[in-house]
Amino acid sequence: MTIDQVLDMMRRDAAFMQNVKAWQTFSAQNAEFADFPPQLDQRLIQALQKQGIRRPYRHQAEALALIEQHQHTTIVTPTASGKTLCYNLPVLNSILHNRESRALYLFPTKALSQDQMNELHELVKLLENQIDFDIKSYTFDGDTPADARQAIRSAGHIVVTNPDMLHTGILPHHTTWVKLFENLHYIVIDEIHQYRGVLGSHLANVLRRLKRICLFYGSRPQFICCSATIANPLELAQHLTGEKHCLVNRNGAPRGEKHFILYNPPVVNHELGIRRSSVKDANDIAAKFVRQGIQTIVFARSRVRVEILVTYLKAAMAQAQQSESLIRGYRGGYLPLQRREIERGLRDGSILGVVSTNALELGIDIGQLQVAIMAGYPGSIASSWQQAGRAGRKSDTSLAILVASSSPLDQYIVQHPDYLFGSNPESGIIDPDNLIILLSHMKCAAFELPFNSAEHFGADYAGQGGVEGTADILDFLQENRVVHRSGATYHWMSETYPAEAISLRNAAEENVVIIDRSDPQEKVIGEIDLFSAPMLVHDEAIYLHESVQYHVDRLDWERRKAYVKQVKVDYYTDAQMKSDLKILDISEDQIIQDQLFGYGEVVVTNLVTMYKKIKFNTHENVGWGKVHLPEQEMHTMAFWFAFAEDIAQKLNIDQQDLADGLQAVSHILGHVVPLFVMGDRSDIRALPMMRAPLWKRPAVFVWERYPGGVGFSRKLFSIYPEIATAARQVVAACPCASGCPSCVGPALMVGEKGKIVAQSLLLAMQETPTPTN
Amino acid sequence: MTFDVESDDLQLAAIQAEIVANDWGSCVKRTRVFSGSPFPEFNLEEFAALTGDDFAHLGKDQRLSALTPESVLFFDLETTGLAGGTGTLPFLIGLGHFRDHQLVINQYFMRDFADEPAALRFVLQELQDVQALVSFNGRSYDWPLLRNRLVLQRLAGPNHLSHLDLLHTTRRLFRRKLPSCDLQSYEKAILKFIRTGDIPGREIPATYFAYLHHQQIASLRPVFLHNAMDLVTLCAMAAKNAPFFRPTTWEKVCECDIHGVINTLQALSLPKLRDLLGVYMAGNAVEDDPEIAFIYADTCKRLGDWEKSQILWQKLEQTSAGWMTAAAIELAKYHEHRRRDPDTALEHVCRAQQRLALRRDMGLPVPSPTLETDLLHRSRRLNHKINKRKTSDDPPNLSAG
Repeated sequence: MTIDQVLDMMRRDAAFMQNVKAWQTFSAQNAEFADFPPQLDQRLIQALQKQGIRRPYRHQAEALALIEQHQHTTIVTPTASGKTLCYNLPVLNSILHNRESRALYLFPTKALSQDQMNELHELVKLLENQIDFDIKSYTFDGDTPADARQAIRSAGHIVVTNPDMLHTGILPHHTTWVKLFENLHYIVIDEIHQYRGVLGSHLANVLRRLKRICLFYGSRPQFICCSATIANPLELAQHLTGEKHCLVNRNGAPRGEKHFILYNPPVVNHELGIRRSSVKDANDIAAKFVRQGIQTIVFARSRVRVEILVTYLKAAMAQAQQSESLIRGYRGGYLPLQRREIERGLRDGSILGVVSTNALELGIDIGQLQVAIMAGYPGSIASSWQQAGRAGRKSDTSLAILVASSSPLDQYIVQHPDYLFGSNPESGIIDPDNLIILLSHMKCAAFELPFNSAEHFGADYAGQGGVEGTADILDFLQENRVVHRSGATYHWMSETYPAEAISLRNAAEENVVIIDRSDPQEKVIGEIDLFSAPMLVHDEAIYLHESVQYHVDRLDWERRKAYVKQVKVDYYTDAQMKSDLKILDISEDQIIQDQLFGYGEVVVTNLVTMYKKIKFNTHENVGWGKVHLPEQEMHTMAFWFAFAEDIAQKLNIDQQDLADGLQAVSHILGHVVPLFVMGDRSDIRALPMMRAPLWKRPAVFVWERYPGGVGFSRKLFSIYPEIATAARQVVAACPCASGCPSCVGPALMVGEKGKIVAQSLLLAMQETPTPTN
Repeated sequence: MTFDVESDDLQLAAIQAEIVANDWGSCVKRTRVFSGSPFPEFNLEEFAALTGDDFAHLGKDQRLSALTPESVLFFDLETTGLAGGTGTLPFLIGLGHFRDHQLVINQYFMRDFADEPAALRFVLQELQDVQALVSFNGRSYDWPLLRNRLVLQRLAGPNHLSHLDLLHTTRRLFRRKLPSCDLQSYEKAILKFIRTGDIPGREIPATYFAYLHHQQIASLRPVFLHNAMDLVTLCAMAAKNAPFFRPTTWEKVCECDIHGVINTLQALSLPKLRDLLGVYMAGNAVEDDPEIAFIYADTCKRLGDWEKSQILWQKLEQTSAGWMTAAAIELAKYHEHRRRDPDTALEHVCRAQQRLALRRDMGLPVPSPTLETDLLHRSRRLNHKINKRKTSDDPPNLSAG
């Protein structure tokens, strides 16, 4: 069956179509070509011709021309539009001109760097007969054997690595990389939209250190960045690299017709607002395709779900008397060889269905698939498009289906297709000057090269900008005897190796692992972040996982493990958390129309004290217990919105209704905010307060879950009306009567009027104009 | 608050040092001269007696045979950290020359980071006049660290120097004899010397950081002593280790790990290896140490001394199954290829096969399956040869002519 026949079949399937919330068709687009810039070496042009490339696409030519004019360049292109050529060509061109020329490639993950290397090697191979020296490119990461490292340091023209290795393995040892740093012409940073929040803030500082070292060796490398489509690629690139960039964003690559379906599983429990499982429905849809011999990729949000889907799909194949080996899983934790084998299987067609985490979202070459199915919204629009881009890599018709889960964000997306299909509102936000992050990297920088007292850390090549308080921070470090001032320079003065103690990724942040002991054979069924654990997996809690009830026998807080057993009970547990927030310092605030809003430094404390057992249906309180867990405290940044003092009167509601409404607003904000700041749900938290400190007004706080914050709060300060609008739309569109987990939270938590009050409060936020400076 | 800082001169006098200057600034230089016996068990004349061959043995590198006691430089750093990387400062650089039967130690000390450019230039100057560095773990620690500092000052490092790292030598000789191969263990075991009042290496960075704060040079006195002591030990170590590679008595050989010596001489000189093994086997019966006896036989074979090898192999045939089989195979080869005597060769092979078969019957482990296969192939080929000769009726010994 061809894909067109399948589409036809689906259109006539009434049961399926009932759940389709949007069916968007993007028409095919022809390739737009341009000419190679005159600076490009003839030998490269000939090599490309051997690969069947006679002329570059328009965006490639544009990028090449800008790069050859020595502009830092950021290229925004969808999947499979030939972006690697945009940086491989100028890099090879400079090596052909000067065989000492060097380039550094940064990829976010190891797997991805391996793959991009293959493409580079092919091009280099075609040049082999044209030149009298070898162009050497090497991957330098944790897996690089010690005996190969020496050769890479001195002879590698192109060194491919990742931010973590650059941070711990290269920069602190720059004296062994003299050749590279003296001759570094280009720094290529691919997938920059991945570097946002904490990781991005760290990377910006790693790049500040890199540039310092380059200047020491007399080089000023040019940056080439690539990004998926986000709202602010240029801004992000400039923040990351600290230099002005030119933007190339008009894609000239050809595209086949693309169908994008938003599918919402039907509601099965109206009271709790629970829909049929997105995993289950994604599986049913995928099974239809693979049984028809249509190559399909399914993206799941966790490793566990990948395994579940693989099992389901294999069973579905067996039922249809087809080989189970046509279905494979793919995720982190698989061995490299196994991964290569699966990638090959996908390219040659011997694998029909693959279920993957976002590991396959990035540019790993798996050839052309016909259908991409997302079991749940991948968390960002940029990721959604990258995953959808896995289908239809050439000019054939392709199909992407997003199967929504019950979460408010998923529900928002399926009900507002424009968010996905229109221009992407997500911004990559970083804060390179987060004091904790900045301090860490200034230590590393001092270890690498002494600081001059006049230096501004992070200044651009022209010596402009940079951290104003560099000298203050150095004095602080000197007081703490980490650096030593000698004349006008500050030298590292500690036995430690600072880079080792600093991790770039907060993903390393601790989680509590949930272990099922129902069977003698223990198994891990999931994990939960440390901050949520006291609420959801305290001793005696009933924990819901994949709609199965588990009783928490014991939460081992020290070892970060929760031991659970499968149960069937007629109640659920609801933990009571006492949260408190104090404002330490106001960065900016304003009063408009008697509404007060701002952002600044706060300290948040959370303490779970007790839980209640609540019976299903009747909602009777059938018991309670105490929770003994340590208080958690964090210094961070928060955005706040304090309503007019007389808001209750204005809305004609009593205090309890207002409290419920605030609770409802913070529930929905917690889900919708990540949509705009490209964070994960776990990156931010929202907290309602009836009498907020300082003003004694009802307020909602949105605080960042990374000590010191990474810039989300400042961003919220300028865009909160948009967020309030989106949040209000979710609430308004939700079919539930008076609140459900998909909008403002269950009615039990937000009361009868919570949902209505929340809409009024959000409207008030929405209608308060953003601050004008 | 003011510190009661002694004047520079007084402080320097306390550690017998002076300030030296060049175009790039100044630093502190402290010179100490040792002669005679710095340790009770060590006389500098032992070092003076070292030959080029000794240096080659110590470094397991024939190229070092051009060295003389006066052409090497002992080298040891005291640093601000053990982690390596660019942020570690070698604040005290100790260099030791052997001149006119004396060990002259020059220590360059950086009173602050600002002294580094001058100090590094003084050091570079001293490096120019020598052919090799002698260090303890300097190959992987001290030297790369110094190179880092040269790069950071944008200075070209010397590239004419060889490097003799005595840690490697000491490990080769004493890995199986000493509980640890660090300097202190070595001093105790080989030099019969225990340091008193020495500052432990791990405390040195903190001592320097404290000095940067209070500027009392005298507080670094233990660090200067520690560094000088390390350099003297280096000199003693070279002198004491060298004789193990040219032993004259069985007792001497037994003091160290003979495998380390064998490994070195195998790479450098087979005749010397034969001499060493000869000394060793003079005090050991073949059955006491069949492994070394086998190596001895093999060395003699490679030197063409078949007579000696044959005797050793025959003795080895009387030992344990493994060595017996290996020796039998050697003897079979000897008789088949050198003596053109397949019958005797076959006898050796059969004897080994019977021995292995017997072990198998008794349920004992068989030394190595490859040896067994070797025997099988060998016996087939020998039988074939013998049969062929019988048919052509060739007398066995004629073909050897």
